[in-house]
Amino acid sequence: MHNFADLEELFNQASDLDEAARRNFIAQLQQSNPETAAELIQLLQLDRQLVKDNLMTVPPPMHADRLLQADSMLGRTLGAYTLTELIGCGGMGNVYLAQRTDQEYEKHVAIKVVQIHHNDQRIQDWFRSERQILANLEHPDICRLLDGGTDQQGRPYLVMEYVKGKTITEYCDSNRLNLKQRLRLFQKLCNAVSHAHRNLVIHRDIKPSNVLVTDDGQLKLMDFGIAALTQADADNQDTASSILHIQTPGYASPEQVKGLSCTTGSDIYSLGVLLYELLVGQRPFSLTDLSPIEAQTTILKSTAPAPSTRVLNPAETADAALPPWQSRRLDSPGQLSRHLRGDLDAIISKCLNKDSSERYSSVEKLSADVTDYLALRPVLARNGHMRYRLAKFIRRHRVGVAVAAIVITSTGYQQLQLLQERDSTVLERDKAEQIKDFMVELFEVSDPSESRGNSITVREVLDRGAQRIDSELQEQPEIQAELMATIGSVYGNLGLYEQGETLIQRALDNRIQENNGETLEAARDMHSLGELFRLGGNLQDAERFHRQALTIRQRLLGNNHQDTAISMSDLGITVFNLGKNLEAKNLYEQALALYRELPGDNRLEISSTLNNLAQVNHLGLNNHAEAEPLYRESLVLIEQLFGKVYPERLTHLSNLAQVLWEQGNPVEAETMYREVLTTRRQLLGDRHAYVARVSSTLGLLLTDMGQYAEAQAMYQQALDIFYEQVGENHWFGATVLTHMADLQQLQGNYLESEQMIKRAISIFEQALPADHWRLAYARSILGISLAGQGDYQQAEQLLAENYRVMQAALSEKSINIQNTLKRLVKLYELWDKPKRADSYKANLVNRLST
Amino acid sequence: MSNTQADITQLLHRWREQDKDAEAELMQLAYPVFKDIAKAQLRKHHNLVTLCSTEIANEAYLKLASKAEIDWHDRNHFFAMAATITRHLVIDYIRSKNSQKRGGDIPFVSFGELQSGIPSVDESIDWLGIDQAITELELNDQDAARLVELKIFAGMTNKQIADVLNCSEATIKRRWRFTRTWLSRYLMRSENE
Repeated sequence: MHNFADLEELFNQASDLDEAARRNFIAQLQQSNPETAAELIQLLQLDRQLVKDNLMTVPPPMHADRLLQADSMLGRTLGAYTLTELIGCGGMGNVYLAQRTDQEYEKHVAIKVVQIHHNDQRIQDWFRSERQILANLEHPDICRLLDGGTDQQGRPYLVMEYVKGKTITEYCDSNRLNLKQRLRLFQKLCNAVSHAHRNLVIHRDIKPSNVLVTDDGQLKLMDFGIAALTQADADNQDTASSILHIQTPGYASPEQVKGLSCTTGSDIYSLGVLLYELLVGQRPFSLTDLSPIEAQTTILKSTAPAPSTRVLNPAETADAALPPWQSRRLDSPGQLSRHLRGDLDAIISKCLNKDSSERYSSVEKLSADVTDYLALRPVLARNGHMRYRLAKFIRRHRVGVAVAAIVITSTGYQQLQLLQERDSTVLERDKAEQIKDFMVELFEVSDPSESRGNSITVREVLDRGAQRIDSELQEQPEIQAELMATIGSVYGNLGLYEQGETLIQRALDNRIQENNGETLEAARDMHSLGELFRLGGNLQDAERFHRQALTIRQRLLGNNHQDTAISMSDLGITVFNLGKNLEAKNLYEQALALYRELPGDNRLEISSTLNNLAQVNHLGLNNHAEAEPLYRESLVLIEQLFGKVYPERLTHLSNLAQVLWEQGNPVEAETMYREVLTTRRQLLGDRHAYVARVSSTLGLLLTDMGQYAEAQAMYQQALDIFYEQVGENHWFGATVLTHMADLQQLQGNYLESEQMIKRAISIFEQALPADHWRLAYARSILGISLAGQGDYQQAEQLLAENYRVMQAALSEKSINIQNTLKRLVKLYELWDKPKRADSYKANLVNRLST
Repeated sequence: MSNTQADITQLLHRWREQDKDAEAELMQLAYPVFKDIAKAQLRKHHNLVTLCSTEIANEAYLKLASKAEIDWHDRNHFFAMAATITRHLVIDYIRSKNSQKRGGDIPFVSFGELQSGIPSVDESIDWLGIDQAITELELNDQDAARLVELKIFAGMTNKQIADVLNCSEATIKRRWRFTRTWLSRYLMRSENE
């Protein structure tokens, strides 16, 4: 190594010189000491890069590496393009200006060669599919992804529209745009981001250098989702996150800094920072002089000064790179501060909330607030604040508030009770407070947002809670019951139905001991139990508890109450699962009417009830014509409320897909199911029961389309997940076995199919009533297994008998009946009785054509 | 415990006076404390392997030093020492991980936060290379070596480092600019070899 001190001295001397003098200095050194000169040149080059990324505290070896690489890349061709010039060197890779080689037409493009660390097939695959999504992102304000591929070293590259423009901040400043013009430009950006969000793409790295404006005022959002592409690489290396390699800390949201998953809320946060910078001229936090840990703490803990105060007191460490204020603005700081105070302060602070659930729920809402501000209407960020807080409180402490709400409604009954009630309000409030404290204490060591796709932590917390309830709260039976019920519900939400049932059953027993069980608390526990039993597969008990809960609620609350409607609708689901279609339809219709009348925004409830009603019509009563518009109405409502990535929407979407499939449109149905599957995985991870359900259904569709191998894979996946999640004796798994048995038969493997279907039947016999159509359906499949092995008589008996059972429960047009008819045809073909086969065949064809 | 507190206060003073023996003793005293705290944090957070080096250092500081007797200079010095300890922890961890491959213990400390606030170990950073570079620097320029250690393993600000190295903030800023460049090149070279 050269003498460190000498080199440092030379480096410092050279850095202090201006460009020309430095060249001279180096030239002289080259004469006297060429080796040191070469070293110095390298160091100065590196330094320039490091200074440019002024947030790099840790030397990034990869960067340096790439800088040297760049030279060798120029002149090379990638696909149809020749690299002509290095135009950027960012955290994710080098960007080159390139030209089409084939000279078909003169076209400049920008090519980004993405730096990935591992050359792994999975990354390549993922990259390819993700690229497809990005390529479909068509919006005038989004820089188009034109093409992509992999270079000789296996590095993915992206070909993008070449945009020549200024960053949005430079553009605003150099054109001295006023506040309104800046806000309008910002809204254009919002539109672009929101378009992407509707297409399930999150940007992850919104910052001025990614938002360019051309000279004619065209805005272009760059590098969409590319952060995600490189993120996949980082994930693949088993490191939780390398976000800060990619995300510029100045614009990264708290959750990104913590390495948690990105959401649309993260983009909203970054938009907030960018808006702050556009309006104030500085970012909310000045992080430049901070160490990385200090910067992180600032992002996680500090509250940014309100824009209106910040313009009056610019931070001491103002970015020296920015030109002085006056040259960039028309307004004086005082004027600007007056404009910002109030609404714009509120809008920005809502974007910058540390808790992403307290930010705007969508970019559209943010943009709408800006529109309202421009139109002098009140903005959501301000008047929604109190209501929002309340909603959040309720969500967090459902038990406490439920208790309080009961007290409030009962005060209305009689003046006489008022005093008594007031006392009890105080009591209840203490109780609510204690419960809240207990829960908060339990959860404070484990942030549920960290447990996404991994419920182990939460589960451990709950187990601990359940134990503590037993040991600590024996003298306070009421609170004990509330907590058991609460923790029981959380178990249920995690899919741990048995644990939930045990706890809630104990809570209910406590309450029945304390009073006679004719209370709203008891009704709530019964309702929860009903839901847990339903979800756990025990429909008989589910029905019993739901009926009890509904009776108590109707008696105590009357029909005109939200909880009564909920009871009706959940009982409806249960009886529907039990095959009582007409009663289910009736309950849904009543609940729907109630929801439509009740005050408040009940679009969510209406939408799910519409969906349920559609389901009875569709699956139970086989009334497709009635079902389809109901599905569509519910889908519209849910998209209005939550956009595309919302679990409920996916349920509704799969139902619509099924109707379409049954109406003879399997191709469109397949597209919908695949969207559902992808999004479910995105939301829940790969091992969730819902993922299994979609896989299984998609398997059915693929079977129908003759794609047996892929269907088999889908089924197996579903079965594995079900076994893992709900055990081997749950009828969910049995349903998949039914499908698998059928698939074996289609391929002539009758013995295998017999084993599968017998296993399924024995599970159904335990879980379902004896006359349930699923059981009948399974038995009819067994019929074919037997027929395939030559036992025609027994097969005929099974098929005929169970065809009748199914006819009683399902409509003729339903897929399950149609399939059974096909089996009857198959039986008689195998048996060589073409006449009987034809009679059923004629039946089948007739039915399909009507 | 009060014995330890008295010890550490004294040791810190001696250490500031450039007493080499005091440094070794301090390390010996503090290393197990750091390790315990890191492990305890891990237990508390169960499978969340998110540990923060500054948090650990803070807690260790409270455990080892009595607040009344140590002024903020000593606090900075303490954190400076924490940098050395953390560096050893990191290198131990990386080495043990490399020898274990997969299926070993849960790492008892996560190092991502040491360098840029990333929770979890960022293995794209060449920690062993950085360690080597510091060792090489120690032979040539002790202050520069210390500077790298403090920047990377303690995340200290220029001001804090200036206090520890007993020079001006401007000097630190200037020296860091060169040192990080030198370090970049060092890592780049070792990567190419």
